[in-house]
Amino acid sequence: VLQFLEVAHRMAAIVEGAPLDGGAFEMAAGFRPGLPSPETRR
Amino acid sequence: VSFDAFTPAHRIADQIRTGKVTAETVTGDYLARIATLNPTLNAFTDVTAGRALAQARGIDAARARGEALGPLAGVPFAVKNLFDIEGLPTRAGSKINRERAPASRDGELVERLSAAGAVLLGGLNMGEYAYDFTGENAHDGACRNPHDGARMAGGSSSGSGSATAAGLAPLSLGSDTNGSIRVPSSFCGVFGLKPTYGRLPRTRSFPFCDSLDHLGPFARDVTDLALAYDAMQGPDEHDPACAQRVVEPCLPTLKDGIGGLRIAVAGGHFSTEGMPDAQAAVAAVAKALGAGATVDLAGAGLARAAAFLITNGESAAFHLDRLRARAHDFDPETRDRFLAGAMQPSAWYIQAQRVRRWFHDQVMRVFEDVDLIVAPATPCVAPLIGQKTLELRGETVPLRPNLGIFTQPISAIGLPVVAVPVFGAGLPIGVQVIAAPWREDLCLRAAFALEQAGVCVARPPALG
Repeated sequence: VLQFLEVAHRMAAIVEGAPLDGGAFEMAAGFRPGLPSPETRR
Repeated sequence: VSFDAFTPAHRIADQIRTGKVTAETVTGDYLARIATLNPTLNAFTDVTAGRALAQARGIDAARARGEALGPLAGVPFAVKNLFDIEGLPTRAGSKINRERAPASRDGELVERLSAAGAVLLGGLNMGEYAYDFTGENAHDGACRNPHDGARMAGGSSSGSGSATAAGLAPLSLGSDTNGSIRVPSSFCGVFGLKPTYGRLPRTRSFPFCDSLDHLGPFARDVTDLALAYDAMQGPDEHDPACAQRVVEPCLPTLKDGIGGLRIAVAGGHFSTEGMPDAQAAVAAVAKALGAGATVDLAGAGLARAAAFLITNGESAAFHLDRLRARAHDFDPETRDRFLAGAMQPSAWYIQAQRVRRWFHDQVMRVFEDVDLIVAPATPCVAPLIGQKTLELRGETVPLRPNLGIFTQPISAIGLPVVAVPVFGAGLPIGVQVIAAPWREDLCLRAAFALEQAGVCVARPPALG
């Protein structure tokens, strides 16, 4: 379990480094491939 | 056995429609082949012989009465055992689920294929709760690769890949959260379609990770893949993730060719340097499609990490009660990953979902300049059953998580993909043909062109 947690920790460090727009906050509930991020939630 | 088990599904339907063979004969022959070969391959976990023969006789009777038959009338198929099959507990590769009440109704996609005349032969082996790329299963045993029984079929839709490749069914269904259609397609040398996220309803199938789960077909023939896909399309109000889109059939444009399509090869994260089998396969497909340019899907590594965290977080939450009460009844290979997922901070999950959206927006910009992207499906051909590590770019890495290195970033943003088989000197390996959302038609057109050119053909394995 600890080994997998260690892997997850490494993955978390990777995604933490993503160059995200700090104002954008869209998650899965509205996820629809092919559509732009909804401006109303930025 | 009198019927050629490697006859494409659309030809089987034609032969039944024109009276050259009866549906009962076809079904009986496939059941006999399953009885002979499944003890070795371990692809089927349930065989629904009585139901299949009854349906086949019904099709023959309908034909005798002069009734119109569906496009898949009499075509046998089988489904990964996470699809509900009326009268059976939906085991989803697990021990625990066998105690569930039998399903009262078939899964939505099973019903749609049955409505088109297809005949269900049974349920197929899979990795426990779909958390697997190998096809190994502590409860049901490893599903074997028909091209070399010592090797993995790939997972988690192991039985779908193995049964389709071995001619135990011309069509099958699987699921793909991180690569579970594309990895077994690659290892078993068949075609597999992972449609756009939200295209096919998942109603009455057992979930793994709701925001990444896709369902789709396997076949040895691209026309069959399109035929099955078209029969399964359409909205369904019971799956909240299912887009309420009208049916957009792919069969009418399947033979339109690739003229005018802008096709490029994925570089960067998808580089096959140091992976000779994958490199040769991508080169063969790229050459046949005239894909000279390379595109960089910048952020693919981030998307893979995001998919890992989303999968762990959602699946662990879904299984939390089972983990608390029945941890000892899980496959040890999946249990420890679920337990680790249960301890992930929620901030990791939320950041991963944001990264997913960000990567999606990056890739949508790439699709302004290309129509199709070619990428490897797996870094290697099928490993040996029991193998634990993999040589990847000069490094020894754990095998299980790294079999999905090329598939995870693509499913993370829900793009449609057809995995196409390439046979080199030995074992098959797959290549992903990827399109923008909702353009499954382009993936299938390219796959058909590759099949016609003889570059991607699902060769029958040498079985007894």
